[in-house]
Amino acid sequence: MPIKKRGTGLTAVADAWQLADIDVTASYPIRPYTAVMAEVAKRIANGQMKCEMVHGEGEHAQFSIAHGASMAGARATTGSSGVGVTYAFETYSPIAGGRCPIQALIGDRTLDPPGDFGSEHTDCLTLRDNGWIYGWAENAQEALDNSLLCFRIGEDPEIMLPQIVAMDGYFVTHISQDYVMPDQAQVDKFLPPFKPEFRLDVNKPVIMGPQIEPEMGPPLEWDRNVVMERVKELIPKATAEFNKIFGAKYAPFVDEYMTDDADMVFLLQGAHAVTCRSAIKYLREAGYKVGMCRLRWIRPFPDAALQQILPKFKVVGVIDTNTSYGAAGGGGVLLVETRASVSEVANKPIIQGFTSGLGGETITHEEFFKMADMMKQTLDAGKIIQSSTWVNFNDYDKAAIEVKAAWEQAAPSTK
Amino acid sequence: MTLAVAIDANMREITVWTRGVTLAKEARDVATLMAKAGGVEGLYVQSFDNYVDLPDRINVACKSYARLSPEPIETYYEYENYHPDVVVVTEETMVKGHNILEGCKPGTVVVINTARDPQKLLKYISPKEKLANVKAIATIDANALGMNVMLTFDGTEGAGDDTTIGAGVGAAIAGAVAKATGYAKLESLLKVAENKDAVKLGWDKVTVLAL
Repeated sequence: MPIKKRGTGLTAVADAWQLADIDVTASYPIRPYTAVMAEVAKRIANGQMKCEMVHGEGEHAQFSIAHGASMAGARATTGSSGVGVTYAFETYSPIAGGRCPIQALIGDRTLDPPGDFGSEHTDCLTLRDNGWIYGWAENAQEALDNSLLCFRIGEDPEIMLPQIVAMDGYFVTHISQDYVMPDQAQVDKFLPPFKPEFRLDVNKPVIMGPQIEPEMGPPLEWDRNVVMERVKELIPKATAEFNKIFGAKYAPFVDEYMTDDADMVFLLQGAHAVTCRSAIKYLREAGYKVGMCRLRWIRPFPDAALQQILPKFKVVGVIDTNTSYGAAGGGGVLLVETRASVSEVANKPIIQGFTSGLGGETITHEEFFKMADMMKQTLDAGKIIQSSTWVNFNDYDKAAIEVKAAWEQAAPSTK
Repeated sequence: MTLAVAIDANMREITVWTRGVTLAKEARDVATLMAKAGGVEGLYVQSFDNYVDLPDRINVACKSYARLSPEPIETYYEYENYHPDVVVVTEETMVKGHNILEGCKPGTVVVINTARDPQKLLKYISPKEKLANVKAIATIDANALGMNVMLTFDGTEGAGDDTTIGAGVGAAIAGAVAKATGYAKLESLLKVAENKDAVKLGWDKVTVLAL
């Protein structure tokens, strides 16, 4: 029987790892990731889980341990946060290139400087060119479900790629909430045991991770490119199967909210979708025809889905909870990717960027209201007013304009 | 733009001030117990630790929070209780040097774990301009409730509590908070706390000074 539980995104993923009967997990503490390793250690000690737990001397070691375990045929997991994610950077491409489908849990944390525990997606987004499959969960339930879905997709014999279950630090990792831990029989039906075709085995020797000649490189890279395209095809199938077995209602790529008659939408990923939905309710009452598109995956990027969905709207406000200094358009990663996705679509909407929730700040209702106001101005103008706006810094909503005018009146510019 | 909407207008917020490690678990228990008791009474509830504090550093100031609302909580992903209705101080010296009344609403109740006269503690409480919002100060000498009301230690960091909830001083303080505020019935608290004697003692021995 599925069990109703109250816990966090971290305990939920520990549940997923227990249900997936992982063989090896590699740990190293860093907030907010820490609790999942504490939770798994506890379950091993209690006899709830049978799993080899190896404590690395740092994140690079941690990911390398999981890499090695996977080469030996183990279903292996690990995870980290913030600067821990970037400390392990060297390992990501070899793991994906070696087609080792390990799973990492990343609870976002702001990169230094300065030290900040809050969630910012930049840490995890720095990995986007390394060939890992990943997307953000908005709550504990989705964290659990994404973990199972990721194992299923990543370990598919036609795929064999590592995955990241990404979630906002604190919001999803630390705020306790209700979720359902599925039944073991459901999981066994959905997720077959991990049986890789090739593994390190003294009786059947193979070479993994060899040094190669330059001309041997391109075919390997082509292969990695092709397989990522294959992931795009598998995601809808695996999601449909997941929904059927677990009674869930996940959209394969883009979770739409109140978009049927919307002329403008927020486009975002992760935990802030929760407040966004609540804010939309108030905005609708105030007459704004606004909705939300939440990305379930960042790699592979849901470009085909967005090409279908976005032309329905007139204005899209992309909310980036990450930084990509100097990026095209002045916003973050999502703005660049969203614009690129629909750049060749004839009736594409006006796409503007917002940078908000940095440092792990909650994007408040008031900030969503401000963004809606700015999107409405774009809608009325019929053209972009400001390519990207850092909320609370260079806003141009009515209140901000009034404040600027008052400043100007009080102390006229001497230029 | 500011829409004139009151979000979570009927939500009540309880902020529990404490010291890292030595009393962190007890403070978390006060928040957890109040939230669970509210849950028993059919309210929408939430309890959480302040994420920005450093509760694994011995004796640093840190906070735990509880929220109770008759409607689903909309500001679910927030870091703090920005507008507390109840401020609990689990260690008396914390009244000095911390702006425990920051953001408090009119009608706030302050509950302090102390053997001292609340009138004497009053002069330390800050910010001073918020004192007008305080309706009452309640005191409970939870540390003196006997051998069966002990301190418990545990860190969670986003996972569940390993130890039972409300085994020690926190249970007594929760009893005092419930009585001083009327936010939970004694029976509801007794249902969710491990140490029922401590809850009863806290409920019985709290003294409330109306301001």
